[in-house]
Amino acid sequence: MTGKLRKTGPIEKSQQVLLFLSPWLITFAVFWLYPLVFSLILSFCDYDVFHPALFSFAGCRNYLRLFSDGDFLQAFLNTLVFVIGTTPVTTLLGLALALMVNNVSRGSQVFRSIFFLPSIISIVVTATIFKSMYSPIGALNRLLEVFGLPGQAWLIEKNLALPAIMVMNIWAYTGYYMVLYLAALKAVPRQLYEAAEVDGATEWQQFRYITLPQIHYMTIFILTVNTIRSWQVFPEVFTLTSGGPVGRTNTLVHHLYETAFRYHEMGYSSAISYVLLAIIMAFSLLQMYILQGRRRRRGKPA
Amino acid sequence: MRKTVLRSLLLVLMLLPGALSGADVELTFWNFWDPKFILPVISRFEKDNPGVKIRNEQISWGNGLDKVVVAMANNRAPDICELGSTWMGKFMGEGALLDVTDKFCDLKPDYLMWEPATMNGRLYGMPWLAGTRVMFYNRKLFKEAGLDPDRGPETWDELLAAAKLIHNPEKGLYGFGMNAGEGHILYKKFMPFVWGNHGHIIDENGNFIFDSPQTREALEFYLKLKEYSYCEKQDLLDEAFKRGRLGLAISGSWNFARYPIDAPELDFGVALMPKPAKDKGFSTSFLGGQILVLFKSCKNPDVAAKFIRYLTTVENTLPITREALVSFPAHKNAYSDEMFTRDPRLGVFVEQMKTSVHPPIHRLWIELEKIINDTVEKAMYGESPDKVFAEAALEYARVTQRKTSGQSAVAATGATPVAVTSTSGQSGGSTQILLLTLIGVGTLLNAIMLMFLIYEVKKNAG
Repeated sequence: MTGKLRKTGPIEKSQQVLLFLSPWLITFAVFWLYPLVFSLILSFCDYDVFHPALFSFAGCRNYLRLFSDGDFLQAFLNTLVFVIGTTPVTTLLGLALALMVNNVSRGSQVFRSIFFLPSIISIVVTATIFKSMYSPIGALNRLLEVFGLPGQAWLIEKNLALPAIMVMNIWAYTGYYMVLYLAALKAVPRQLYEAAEVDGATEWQQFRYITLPQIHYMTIFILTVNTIRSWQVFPEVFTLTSGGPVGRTNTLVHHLYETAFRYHEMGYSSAISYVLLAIIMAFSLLQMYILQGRRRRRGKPA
Repeated sequence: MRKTVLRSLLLVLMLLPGALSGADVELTFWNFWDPKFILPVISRFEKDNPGVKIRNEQISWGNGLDKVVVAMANNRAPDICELGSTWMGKFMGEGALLDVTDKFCDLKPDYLMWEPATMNGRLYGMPWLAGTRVMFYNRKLFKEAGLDPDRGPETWDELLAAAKLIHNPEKGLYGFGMNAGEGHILYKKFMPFVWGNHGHIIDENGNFIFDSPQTREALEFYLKLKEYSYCEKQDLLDEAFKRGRLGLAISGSWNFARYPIDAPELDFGVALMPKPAKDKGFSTSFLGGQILVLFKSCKNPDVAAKFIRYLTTVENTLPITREALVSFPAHKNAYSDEMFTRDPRLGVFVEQMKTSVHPPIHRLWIELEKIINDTVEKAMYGESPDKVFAEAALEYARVTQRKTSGQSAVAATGATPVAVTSTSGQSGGSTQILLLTLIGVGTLLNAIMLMFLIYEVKKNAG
C-alpha cells in the first residue's frame, strides 16, 4: 500500500490535490488575495478614482498622516471602548445564558430560540428599531417614565451614544454566542459530573474544574471571533448615528468607509484598513497566546 | 474553414441580443426613482424613436454616489445619469462630465436652477428637479400657546419666542425640531440663517469666508434656539412632528405625501423661513435638486440629449413629482399646475424657491460640507465659537493643501480625468497598479503552493 503511494510521488499527488482544491483556490485568489494585495499597494500610494493617471507612490505618507488625523484617533479610541465594552459582556452573558438554558428541565428549546432570535434578524433592521426606541419620545424613555426616571436623548447625548450602541450590540449578539456555548456544554461527558458528585464536589467546583476546562477551546474560539467582529463594527454605527454626535460614535471601519467612498481617498483608506488588520492580528495573537499558554502550563504535571 | 464558421457563429451570437431588440443605439440611464415612474416615459420615448433603447437602472441615495464613482473608475459609467446637485461641483471640477452647452443652452429661459450645472460659463448638465425646505408649524400647538395659527414666525425673534412658548418637555412638547447626531444634513438647516443674514461660505474669488460676523450672529441665534429644541435625526424629527410633539420644524415637501395619510388629524401650516429681523436680511432656504448629466464616455450624446429634453418636460416630470412629492420639476411652467394652486401650502414652497440659495458649486464641496457640519455641531455640543471657527479654518487649510497638491500634479503631467482616458484604454496609473498587484498576487500564490509542496514532500518522506 505504502509502496504504491510512493510510486505516484509527492509532486504528482500534490498536483491532484491542487486540482481538487482549485475551485476554492481560484475564488480565494480573486476575491481575497487580489483585494488584499491591491489594497496593500494602494496604502502606499496616492490614488484618486477621479484621476487614475495621477496614481503615484506616497511612501509612508498615508501611514504617517494617521497620527495627525484627529478623526482617526477618535475613531480608534471609540472602537477600543466598543471592543472592551462589548466582547467580555457578550461572551460572559452568552456563557451564563447557555448554563441556564442547559440546566432548565422543561422548555429549554423555547428559551434557546428566544435568546437566539435577535441574531437572525439583520443588524440593520435591529438598528432601525433601536433608533426609534432610543429617541427622546421613544419606547425606552416611556419605560423609564413609568419608574419615575428622567428620560435621555440616547443617541444625541455625546457621552451616551456609544454606550447605547454597545447595549444594542450586546442584545443582538449574545444569543449567538449562547448557542455556541450550548453546543460545547452538550459535549461535556455526563460521567465527569457524576464522578464529581460522588466525590462531593460543590456546584461551583464542578463548574470550575469540569465545565470550564471542557469548554476551553470554545472559549478561545468565541473570544477571538467576538473580538474580531467588535473591531469591525460598522452597520450599527452607519444606521444609528453615522458617526455622530461630534464623532463620538465614529468607528474605524466607518471612518474607513467615509474616507474611501465619500472623500475618495483610496490610498489613505487602504492605510486605515491595514492598521485595522494589524490591530486585529495583534489582539488575536495575544489572546491565543494567553489562553493557550495557560492551558499548556496547567496541563503540565506540577 | 471550421474556424471561420465558428467565428461567424460567435459574431452572430454576440450581435444577437442587439439584433433581437432591434436597437441601433442603446443607452444606460441611472436614476434614483422607483422604476414605475421612469419606465412609462422611457417606453413612450422608445416608441417615438425607433432604434433607440434606454436601459433604466435605479440607484439609491445611500450608495448611489459610491456606485457612480466606482463605475466611472472602471470605465463603466452610465451614458445618462441623475446626480444630486450638491455633487455637481465635484464631478464638474474633476472634469468627469461632458460639456453640453450647445445641447441645452436654448432651454435656459424655461428652467430653474442652472447654477449647479454651470462651471466657468460652460454647461455640464440639465436641471431636472428642484426642492427646498420651509418652516412647518403645528397650528394646534400655536393656538394653545396663544399664537396666531394663520401665520408662521417671520423673524428670528418671533421664531425664538414661539419655540419658547410651546416648549414644555415635561408634557412631551418641544418648541423647535433641530437636526443633530447625524452627518451631512445639518448644514441644510443651518445655512439659511447665515445666507439670510448676508453671510457666505466661499466668496467670488474662492476664499473661505465662513467665519464672519454674519455667521457668528446666526450661530449665536441657533444656539439660543437649541434651548427650546428637540434634537434628533431628520426622519425622527419628521416622525415627532407628525405625532404633534413639535411646534416648529424645517422640513421638505415629502411630508405632504405622508402626513395627510398617516396623521389626518395633524393640523399644520407651512411658512417661509424667518429673516433675521424686520428691517434686516431676507428669507431664504436651502435649494437642492437633481441634475441630468452625460459622462464623457457617453456612447451617443445626441440621442442622450434628446432623451433628457424629453424627460424634463412638464408632462413627463410632473407625474413623478405628484406621486413622491420629494422635489418639483425644474421647468418653470410646472408651477401653474393645479397641484400647487389647490393646496396653498405647496405654493409656499414655490415662493420660497425664488429666494432659496444653492450651496456653493465647488470642487471640494463634499469636504466643505463636513467642515460646516462639524463646526455647527461642535458649537451645539458646547464648544466656544472662537474655538470651532479656528478649527474650521485649520481644517479648510488642511483639505485644500492636500487636494491642491494633487491638482497641481494634473497641470504638471497634463493628466486627464478618467472619462477622457477611457477611450484610449487603460491609463498609465492603472496599468502600473494592475501590474504591481498581479505580481504581488502571483508571488503570494506561489509562496502558498511552495509551502504546500514542501509540506507534502516532508510528510511523505517522513
